[in-house]
Amino acid sequence: MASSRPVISATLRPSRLRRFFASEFFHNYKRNLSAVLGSLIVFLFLAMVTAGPFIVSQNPYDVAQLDLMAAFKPPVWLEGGSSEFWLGTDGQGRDVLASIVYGSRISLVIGLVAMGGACLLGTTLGLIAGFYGGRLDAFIMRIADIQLSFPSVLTALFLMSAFGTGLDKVLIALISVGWVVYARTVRGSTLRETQKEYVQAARVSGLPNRRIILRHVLPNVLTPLIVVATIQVGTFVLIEASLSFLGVGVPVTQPSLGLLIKNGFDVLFSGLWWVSIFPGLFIMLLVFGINLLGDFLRDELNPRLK
Amino acid sequence: MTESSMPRPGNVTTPLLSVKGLRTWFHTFGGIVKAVDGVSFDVAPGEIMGLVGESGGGKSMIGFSIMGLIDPPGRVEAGSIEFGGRDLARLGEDEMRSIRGKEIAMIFQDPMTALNPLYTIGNQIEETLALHTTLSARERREKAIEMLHKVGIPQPEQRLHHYPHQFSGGMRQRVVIAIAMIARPRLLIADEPTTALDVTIQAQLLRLMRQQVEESGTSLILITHDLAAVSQMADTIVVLYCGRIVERGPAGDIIARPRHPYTRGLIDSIPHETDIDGAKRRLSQIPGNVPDIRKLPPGCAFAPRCPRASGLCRMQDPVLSEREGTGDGQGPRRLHATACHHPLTVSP
Amino acid sequence: MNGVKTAENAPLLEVRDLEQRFDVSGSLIDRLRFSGGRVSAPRRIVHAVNGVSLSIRRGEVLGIVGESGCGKSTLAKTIVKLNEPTAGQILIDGEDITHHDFTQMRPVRRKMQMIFQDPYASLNPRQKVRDIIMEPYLESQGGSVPDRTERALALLEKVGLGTEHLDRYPHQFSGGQRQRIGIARSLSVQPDLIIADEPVSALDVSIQAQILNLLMDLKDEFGFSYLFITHDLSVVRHISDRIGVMYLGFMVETGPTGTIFSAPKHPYTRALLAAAPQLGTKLGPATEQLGGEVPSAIDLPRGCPFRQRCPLAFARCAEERPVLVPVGGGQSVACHLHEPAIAEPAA
Repeated sequence: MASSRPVISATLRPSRLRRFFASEFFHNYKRNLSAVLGSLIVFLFLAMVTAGPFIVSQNPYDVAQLDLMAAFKPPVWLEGGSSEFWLGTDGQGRDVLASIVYGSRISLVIGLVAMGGACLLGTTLGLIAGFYGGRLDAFIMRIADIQLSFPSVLTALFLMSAFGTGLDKVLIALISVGWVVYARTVRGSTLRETQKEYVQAARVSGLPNRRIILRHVLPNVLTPLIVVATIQVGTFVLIEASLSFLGVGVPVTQPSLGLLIKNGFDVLFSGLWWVSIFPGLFIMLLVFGINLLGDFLRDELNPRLK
Repeated sequence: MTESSMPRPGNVTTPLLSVKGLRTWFHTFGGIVKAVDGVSFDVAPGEIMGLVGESGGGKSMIGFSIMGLIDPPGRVEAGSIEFGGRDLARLGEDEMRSIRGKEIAMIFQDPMTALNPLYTIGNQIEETLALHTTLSARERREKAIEMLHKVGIPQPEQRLHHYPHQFSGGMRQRVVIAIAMIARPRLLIADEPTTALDVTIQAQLLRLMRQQVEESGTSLILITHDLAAVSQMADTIVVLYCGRIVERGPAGDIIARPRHPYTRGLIDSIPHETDIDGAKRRLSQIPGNVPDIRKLPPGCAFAPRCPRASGLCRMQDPVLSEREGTGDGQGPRRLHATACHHPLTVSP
Repeated sequence: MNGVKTAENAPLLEVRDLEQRFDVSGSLIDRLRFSGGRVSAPRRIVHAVNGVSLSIRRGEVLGIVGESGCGKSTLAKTIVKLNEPTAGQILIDGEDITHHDFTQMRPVRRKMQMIFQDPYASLNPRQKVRDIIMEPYLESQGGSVPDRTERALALLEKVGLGTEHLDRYPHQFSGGQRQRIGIARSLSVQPDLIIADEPVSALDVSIQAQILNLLMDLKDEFGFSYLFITHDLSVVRHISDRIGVMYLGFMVETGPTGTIFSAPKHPYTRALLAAAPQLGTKLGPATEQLGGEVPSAIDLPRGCPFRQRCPLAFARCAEERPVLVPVGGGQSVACHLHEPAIAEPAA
């Protein structure tokens, strides 16, 4: 009877990868120039931070490798430039390109880890607020409202001044700034999903609330988060750069892109522009790529825009 | 109000609307969806035609095609839609806009989407009049009140100043009917107008619609999945399956003597009064499911579910062929046509 | 009180004077009203189910029919304890479950399952068919079950789905097939009672007949009872042994299916039957057509809930709310016109 339905010939199922390449998602991706560009940029950055340290000539934080004689060399195409340092060197003779490779790694790791933490915290709170409702919901969402009424850099700045600086403190600051957007998104989707009959069916089946949340609600509220999470990595990279630039970010021993800009800023007006302009360009490029990718995902994953 | 008494169907007149070989296809990633695939029918002035089929049958897309409201990736690929001497399928958007609402009006299933929640219903009725007539503001207001009164809205003078959300579902649909009918269109297309409403309200609205189109001589295309509702209203019935017409003919004839096995199956699927006596009888059912319209089988699309299907049906597409209606042979347009290699003969 | 099995002919499900009210007034700030120089904070209470009593015997199908907003779905959801009942009693097999908490409900869930209306919303889109249909069973058994695949396959076969569907996701199925999956889920614990909330109203006519036949076949095979909620008169007539007609949260008439359709007594039942479209009969002039619309369940009318739309209403209807009284032949009506002369009210 029902087996006469010819929708999918079940026996031969192509591999996951093959199915992905044949999917509508991939089809649209191929035809979307900015999506391809964005993912290319992000991919190159990821390649750079993983493989880069093995390729660049020096470790800019190994003092033994530094040569003060090579300080403030301009980029290779300017007069006095050296083919050893493509993008020039800073005051300690550190290769700017090598610094960027190491700095991008720290910036990206901070962005990704903080995003993961914010996502975990925000999703948990959003699920609880949306599923149980009532006072718990009101309490969580009021905190979120208060959080949202402060500029995020200001909040982070305040937290950093309270806790002190350091990589872990930066992460805490970013997570406490970033969880709100997940909590709000997840709460909204949770309210919508719990109205659906499959959640009621789970109740009638006798599932405890915790299992209903984990097995039924959670998998169905995750899709919109992909977009939020992607874009947030870019935002976090920027916030962290601002904090480091203001001197309350990462320690000098672990310089991120933002700290590189700060280091070069002191000599920016004495004509030694390359020390801070190149890290700045790389931040811009990274965030631009992430946002292009995020915009594509938003269009693809939001059923209302289809 | 001008009194116009259009001829009732049956008379040999030039049809008001003549759809020939209409194909509306959607080019999607998963393949071409032939939502409407070679559909032809005529609607006489004043005729009530029922367009019946299950979901995926393409019935709504016929309505949208006539109104010129097919959006990409959809496109009217072929065919003509002749209305008052013009081919609507060839008209530009500007010309279509002058026909929409004035000469052809449409009613949708969800009355809330047809009304703008930010304006009073008085505003919305008068807007239609301002667009299509040269009446003064006072005349428009009077006309709006008169129209609301006609569609059975109590205290129209006050209700004019209310917003859509202040009306119940049934009342909202009455307002929509008022807006649709106020410019006295020559054709009204109603797409599942009562599906979202309760039975008692449904009956009220069907009566209202019939009375309205009869009074103004408007033709009505009633698009619905509800065979019973259609049989109560329509002069002719067109049955669709997978974007094609499988059967077309006078309403009484189709219900009493269906020729196509699909029509027969639809009728038998409805629990009848006669089933009830004694032990519960099984309903006769159409086996299987509506096929994926992007991957239709060769030959007749209904063949995989059809008890009468033969090898021929699985190879060759049946054409819609007319035979004389067994009922009221009132001219050539009332013929009973079936697209089936093995049509049912007159059954008890 | 716990799980006492009573005599064979005792009802499987008994509901006594069930009331379900919802407070929809929102927070205090939403409730604040300012009128006549006084500030007040009135509550808005929806009276969804008002003193409904019913009973279902083993193997019996009770159909509940009514228009949208008449409380029939709420009634179903309260009976399976998706809502906490405001007042009244719910008894399954003689066991009072009205105030059962989560753990006390667990064994009861094995006796009572539900089929939902919307085949698209009632299946978790991220779960495979095997997990969907086995969920109630695994939940009631707890832990691992060795023969779970075998059981899942047997369930699929029972509802007429091929075994190749086991590892697919809901979006790969049509509406009718999804409803079969939903039915398989409710069968997995072999319940005594299935509460079906509009199980066919979202389906195409030809698929509707398939599902109705399937439901009847399963009932014949397993002998369970249905509480069948629908707005469709032809469906309720086909499937039910007895019918209850609801209006504005009240049960206005109950009786054997044949009697309700051949000799309806309540003016609302009569109007409902008259409005139902009949295949092949032209829409006649309005005979028992109802005027007006269903009043709000927030401010229930005084007296009879139907009186504002009733063509036969008289003075007493506005003052006194009629109660369901038997009129013979298993039929009961809540209407002042049909009260036996002896039943003079005391007040």
